[in-house]
Amino acid sequence: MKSISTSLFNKSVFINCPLDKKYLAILKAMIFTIKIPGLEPNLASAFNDCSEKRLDKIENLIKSCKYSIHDLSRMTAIKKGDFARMNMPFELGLDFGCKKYASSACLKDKKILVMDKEQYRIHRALSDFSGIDIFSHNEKEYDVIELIGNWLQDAIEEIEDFPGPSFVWGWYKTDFPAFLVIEARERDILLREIYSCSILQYKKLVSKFLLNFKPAIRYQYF
Amino acid sequence: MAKITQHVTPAHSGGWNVKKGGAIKASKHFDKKEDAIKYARDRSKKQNAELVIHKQDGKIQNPNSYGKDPCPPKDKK
Repeated sequence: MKSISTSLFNKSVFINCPLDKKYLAILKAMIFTIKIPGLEPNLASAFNDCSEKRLDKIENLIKSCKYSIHDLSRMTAIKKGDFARMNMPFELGLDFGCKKYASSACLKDKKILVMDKEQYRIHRALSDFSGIDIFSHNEKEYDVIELIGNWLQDAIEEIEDFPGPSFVWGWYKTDFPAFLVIEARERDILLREIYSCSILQYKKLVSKFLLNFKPAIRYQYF
Repeated sequence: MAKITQHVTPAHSGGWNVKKGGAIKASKHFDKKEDAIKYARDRSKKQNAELVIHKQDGKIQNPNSYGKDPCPPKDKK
């Protein structure tokens, strides 16, 4: 395992989620919410380091993040003849295994959130999961903002206060798009290039926005 | 100093909100976008603020005019 500092571990969030176009709006809303308290969201696909095997990359991410969010929304095939995507349940299993069998106290203390687009669907496919809470975001940006905000506040001791979902929604749908327009102009690039930027770039844009957005500054804990 | 802005922006529960740029929360909610625009336009005039209208996905409707001075100073030779 690559050694990472405890402070970085304590603020890192592993995101295991679908990466299709339809899901992108949910993912972006999720990243925005996670970054409000200063946490660092991480996705295996966000790095273009070809020197590392995908599974090694995922393993390292799981071991270097105290918090994990797993979204099993794509556990069924969309079209007849398609295969169901197994990556996400597999990575969820790796994460549970890491927490359960780890020798270090840090890893044993990992906090895991499991989401789906419907609340009770997962138990039909993964009956081993009975007794474990699954949270639903209904594939709506507002619901994911609310769900993640509530979970962060419950799971992380350092977060004493978190803005309500309607506040976050307002910042995300009003002030952030306005910031993006100015950012595109200052960089002298097309706005659509900003909208279609990589997740890594998107994270940087959110950080820059939140750093200068007064109503959000008081919620920065990391 | 940054210019004051009044935004007409989609509400999560449906309908439209009017929100001052940089404010913590929306100031008023409307069912119809045109009513929200009318209210925001009046407020903008009173506050000498820029009116910014958003689309349903949150993106700004007229990004080319946003943040630009509508009456830039003329060159003096």
